[in-house]
Amino acid sequence: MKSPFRLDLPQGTLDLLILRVVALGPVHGYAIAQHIQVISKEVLQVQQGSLYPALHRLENKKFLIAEWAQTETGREAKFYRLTAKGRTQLSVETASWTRLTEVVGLILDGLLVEPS
Amino acid sequence: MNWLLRLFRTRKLERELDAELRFHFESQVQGKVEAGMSSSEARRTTRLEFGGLEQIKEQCRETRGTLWPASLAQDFRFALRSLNKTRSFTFLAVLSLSLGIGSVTVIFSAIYGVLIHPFPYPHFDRLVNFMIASKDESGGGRGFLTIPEFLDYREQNHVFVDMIGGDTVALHYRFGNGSLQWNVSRASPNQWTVLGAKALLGRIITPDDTRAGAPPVFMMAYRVWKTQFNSDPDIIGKTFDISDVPCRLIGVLEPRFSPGNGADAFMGFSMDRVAVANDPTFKDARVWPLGMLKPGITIPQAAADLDLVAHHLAKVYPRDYPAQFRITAVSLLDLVLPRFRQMLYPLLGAVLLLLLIACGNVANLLLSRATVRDREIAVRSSLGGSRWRLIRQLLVESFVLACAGCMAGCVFAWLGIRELVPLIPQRAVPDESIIEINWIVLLATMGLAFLATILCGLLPAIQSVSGPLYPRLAASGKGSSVGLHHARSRSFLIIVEVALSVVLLTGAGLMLRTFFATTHRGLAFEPRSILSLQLRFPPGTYDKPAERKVFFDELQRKLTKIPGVRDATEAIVAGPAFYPSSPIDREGSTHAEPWRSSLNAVGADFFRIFGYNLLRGRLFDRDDFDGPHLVVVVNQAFARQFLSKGDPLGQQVNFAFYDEIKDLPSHSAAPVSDKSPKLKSYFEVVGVISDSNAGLTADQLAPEAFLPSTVLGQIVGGLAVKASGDAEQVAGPVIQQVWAMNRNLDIGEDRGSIYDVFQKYVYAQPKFEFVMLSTFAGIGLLLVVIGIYSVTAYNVSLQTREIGIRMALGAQRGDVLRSILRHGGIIIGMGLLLGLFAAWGTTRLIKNQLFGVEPTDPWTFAVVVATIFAVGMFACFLPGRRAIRIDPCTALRHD
Repeated sequence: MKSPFRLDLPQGTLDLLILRVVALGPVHGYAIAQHIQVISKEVLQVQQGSLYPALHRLENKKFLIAEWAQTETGREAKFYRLTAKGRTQLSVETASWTRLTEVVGLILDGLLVEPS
Repeated sequence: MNWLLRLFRTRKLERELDAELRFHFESQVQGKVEAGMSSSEARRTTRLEFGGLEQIKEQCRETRGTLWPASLAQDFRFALRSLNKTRSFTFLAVLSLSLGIGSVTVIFSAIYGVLIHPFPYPHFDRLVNFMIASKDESGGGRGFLTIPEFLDYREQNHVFVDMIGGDTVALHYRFGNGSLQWNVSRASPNQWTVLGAKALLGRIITPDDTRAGAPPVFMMAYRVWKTQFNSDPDIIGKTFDISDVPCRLIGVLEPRFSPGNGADAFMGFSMDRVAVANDPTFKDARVWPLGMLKPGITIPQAAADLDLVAHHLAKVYPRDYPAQFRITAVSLLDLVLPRFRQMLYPLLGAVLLLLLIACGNVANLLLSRATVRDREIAVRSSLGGSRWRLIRQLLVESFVLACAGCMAGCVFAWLGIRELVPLIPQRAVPDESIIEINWIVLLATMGLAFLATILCGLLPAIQSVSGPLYPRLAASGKGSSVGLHHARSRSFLIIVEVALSVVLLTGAGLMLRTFFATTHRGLAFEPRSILSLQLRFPPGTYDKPAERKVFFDELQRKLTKIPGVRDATEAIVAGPAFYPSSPIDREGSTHAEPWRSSLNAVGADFFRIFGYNLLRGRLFDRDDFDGPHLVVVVNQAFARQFLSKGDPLGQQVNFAFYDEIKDLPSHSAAPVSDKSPKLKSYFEVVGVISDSNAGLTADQLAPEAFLPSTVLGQIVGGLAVKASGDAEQVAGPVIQQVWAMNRNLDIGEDRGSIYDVFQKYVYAQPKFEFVMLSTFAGIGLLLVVIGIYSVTAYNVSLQTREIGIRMALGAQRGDVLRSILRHGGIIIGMGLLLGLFAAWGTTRLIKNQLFGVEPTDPWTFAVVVATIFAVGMFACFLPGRRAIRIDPCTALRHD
């Protein structure tokens, strides 16, 4: 079951990923973990040990709001939703992440060319 | 969910956290089972993937940000539990702290009530009084202005928002069957708005009430309304006969508000120049000015501006001003409080010392505890307890102690203030001051409690978490050398405490000697046998000195016929220590600094009654009272200081006081400088009498001069009556006789023997200071005893085993006791030595309040040292005695 490439998430990106996943609609913790794992083609493995503290942190910062509801299998689970504040945060974070990767990519691409 | 909800809904949050994680776990297991794993295998791998469930939970809890209050609460619970376990420790610590904090609170309350907020007026700190001080050698001047002058200053200055002025006169409230004398404060009608006074009933006086033709109105002090009129709610609007003028009452002032030296009633005068000039009551009135500074103006700036105004006015009215003068200004606060301030500061110093001693005690007790808990703390820090966490826990413990001390201290303070207030000498604090524990004082006290926490707790807390852990883990708390690892700090604290208590006790001892020196000095007369009265003559009667002399001569004849009365005489002031004072000068003398002397105008028998002995020349004879020749009798101190060497008799002396008031009619508000160009009158010295030590500042015997009573007849109203026995017994008949001569004579409030007067005005201050300082010194001594006792007891308990071994090896009980006492004695001795140096340096700060004793009085020092040593050794002896009762067998099995 273990994929050959397992990456650890850089500091701070987990929050961004969670916000992104939750933005799709109300979702519980297990589904978030599954979702990230599936979308990333098993490359990203989210540890429960970091997922739940991150979820609670985002909830306490009022980016997420949680309520208990039934899953399709009829079990009680804690579903997270994005708040307005969370949505703003997501766009800010996404923009800065894109910008960062662009810049890092630029530097990495141009690494072998001597600066004139 | 916000922070507060998170803090209080812990149980719900925990339940949800558990459910959430379990759901994830179950789902993951379910997923693996669906992928084909066996149920037990799925559970096993999931559990492995999950890692420590508790750790995840803990990390989630940390995101709530609510853990520190919980752990703080834990610290508090722990502190309460451990304090409860060691009750005697807690009792001693809280007692020490509460005595210290309580004493400080008492003095804080006094300082707040008297120095910081003595008046009920908003902006009272901007109220300034000024006077015209002459620059010549007489050092004289005047603080009173005529109403037109007052108006000039009010209009021409640039530094005051507004200026108010007033005087106080004695008027008579006449009712159906009698009359009462009221001190009536007559003020400019703007006074009430400037001071911010409010009426409890009715309204305040406004300028409209004083315009020409307006019906006379007045306000009443709350005290008078309450005591003389039973708080009659319908009193407003009634008309009162005040010195034969019908006046309508328009208001009762708020309780605390009583300007004008505690006046009974208040009136206004017109601020219209024409109206004042035509009003016989106010034409010659002289008012005392008070200005409300504009914000940002300093007192020197105000004085400079007023100086310009005054010099301008002096050009217009040259006769009203001295040749050379300047304006001096002083804040109202400085004017009324210097004496009490002088008394309060040593007391503040004393209570701060006391608080230091108390903190030393608590720190000491905490250090002892820290030693016992050395091992507990070592274990906790080797198990990973952070130092900060450990220090915090120890600080929480001392904070709990400080809070308890603060609460108990407030109770002590409340009791203390109840005892203190009646002891405050009369006239030492303004009538409008209130001394009580209020919020500001409470806040200051709480601040102190916090400070006390830091002071008491930090040293032991840091000591107990620092240093290598291993030896402390290895050793048990008791009976080993490591157990003594805080011993040096403890001894140091005791040394400091002893030293501080030496300072306190020395101060108290010196005040005690001052008190006895003041009350037991050998007077040349028996104060209990002399009755002193102040007569107030109705306006318009006995205004001429000759008339007054006739009255007094006849009164004297009649009084001496009363059985038990030996002698009677008149004077300006019929009792030593309160004579007026006058700048003086001698013909042909040159001196740079101003000369001043006490001055009284007296009847011929005054000298006999007050035990003055004639040393040279003669006393007054009949001609001195009638004739135009000006003569004076002076005492030795006067002759020594001011007269030229050789024969004192025949020398010519000038009294500025006489020159200023000789032409004034009686009942004028105050002396002013003469209107005519200065003509100095000289008095011939005809007699020299012995010095009196009855004065207030008899440190050096004060110069005194006496004129015949007729010379200043218009202000002579004092009557001294010498009884053969107790003055109280003749008081009734004497007053009856005075009234038999003239029913309209008023007799001032201070009627009683000279002894009573002394009690009230001369003995009150040293008594106050002596009682306060002794109380504080007593508390200090008690604290030091607690300190020495607890440290010795603790050391003895650490040495139980050692003592057991020594006794088992044949040491006698005496040897053991001696070694304990020797140890205590050395520490106390060092403290005493340090304290002697400290006291030597600090007692001179109260030098000006001492009388009849030097600040470095060796007897006081010796008694203090002996007392502290004896008490300290006793405090060592108690635990020592317990130590020698130790049974060697038990002691060796101990631990």
